[in-house]
Amino acid sequence: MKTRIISLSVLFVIACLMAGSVSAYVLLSPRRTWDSDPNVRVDSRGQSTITDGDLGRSRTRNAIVSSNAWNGSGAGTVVNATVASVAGWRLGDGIPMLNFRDPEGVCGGNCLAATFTGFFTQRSNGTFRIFDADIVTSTGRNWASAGEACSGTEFFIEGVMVHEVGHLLGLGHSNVSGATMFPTVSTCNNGPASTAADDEAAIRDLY
Amino acid sequence: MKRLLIAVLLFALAAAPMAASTFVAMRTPELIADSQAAVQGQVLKVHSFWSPSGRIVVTEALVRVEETIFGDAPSIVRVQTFGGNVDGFIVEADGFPKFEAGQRMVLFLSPEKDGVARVTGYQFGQFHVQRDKAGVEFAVPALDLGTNVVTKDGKPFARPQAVRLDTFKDRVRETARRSGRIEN
Repeated sequence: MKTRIISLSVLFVIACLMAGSVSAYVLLSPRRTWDSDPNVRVDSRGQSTITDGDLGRSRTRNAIVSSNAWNGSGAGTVVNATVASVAGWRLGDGIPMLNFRDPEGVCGGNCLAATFTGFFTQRSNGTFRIFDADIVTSTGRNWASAGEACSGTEFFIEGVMVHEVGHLLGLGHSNVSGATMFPTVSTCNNGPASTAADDEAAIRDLY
Repeated sequence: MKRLLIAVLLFALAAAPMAASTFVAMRTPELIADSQAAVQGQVLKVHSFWSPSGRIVVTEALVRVEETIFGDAPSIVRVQTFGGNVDGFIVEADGFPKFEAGQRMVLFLSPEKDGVARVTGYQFGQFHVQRDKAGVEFAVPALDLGTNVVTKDGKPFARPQAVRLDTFKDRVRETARRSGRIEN
């Protein structure tokens, strides 16, 4: 009888945990964080299909560090970004970069942006430290920024990149529709550029 | 009860997502239009290495072709994807096709240079062949939960479902026939 009660209790706890993961944010597994706020280098060349007069670089950078995104989650500053050269782009070099090009031909066809993670080590206390993550961008797609009209076949660079930076910070996908980390978005929808309560709870959990 | 507990735990672990990339949804007609061939095959061997530039990890799989569903393909296909593990240096690249020796799968293949192919549409063009308890084979979409999907038409994206393998291949052939990729 005692074993049965314990087993049922364990099942109940697991069911609650799983129900939580179905209806809310999810962290990357294993759970991992940066030691200090990462400074993402945003490609100074910009994205050539963006016609906001700045090729999208400043708006992308500003969206990443905006108080409407990760830094407004209530955990203080969790990410910085600087418009700079990404000439030395390389996975695993410890410098997080957002490349507006695709230097290795990784992201063609139906790929819009690719984020490579996996660079983490275990700290002495058993938690995991992220030491690099990099983003590349398809040059075969038409992008728009919030500083211009969206044509209907374009994708907003801010929304996609704030989502990708969420992964860079250690977040997985949320099943909450309307969250930045929700895994589906359509053309001309820049909603993911502003985080939702669910995204903010995830960041507060991590940082 | 113990079996049930283990099953629930395994499911919970399997449901844990990884990092992601963003892809435009592709459906079968688009996969066919962009592919040189679609094949059913078995993965013989997989190995990962740094690209010649030293900037990214590449994984190459050798796939023995059991059946060409449409198009032209050699008896053994070399397929490359990104991400992998080189001497413990792991690059996670979710949304990109993944291979393990022994797996059977259906692949839509895009030609690449030097005799190396890529999977059309990344994970959209990869389906695992799995058998149920009754021995019926299914084509199970490889698309994982870590993939961020955007739609071109503004409609919600419905994740593809497993289909009986024979039915799936018949549909692919029929679509390929209608689009002139298979002659009557």
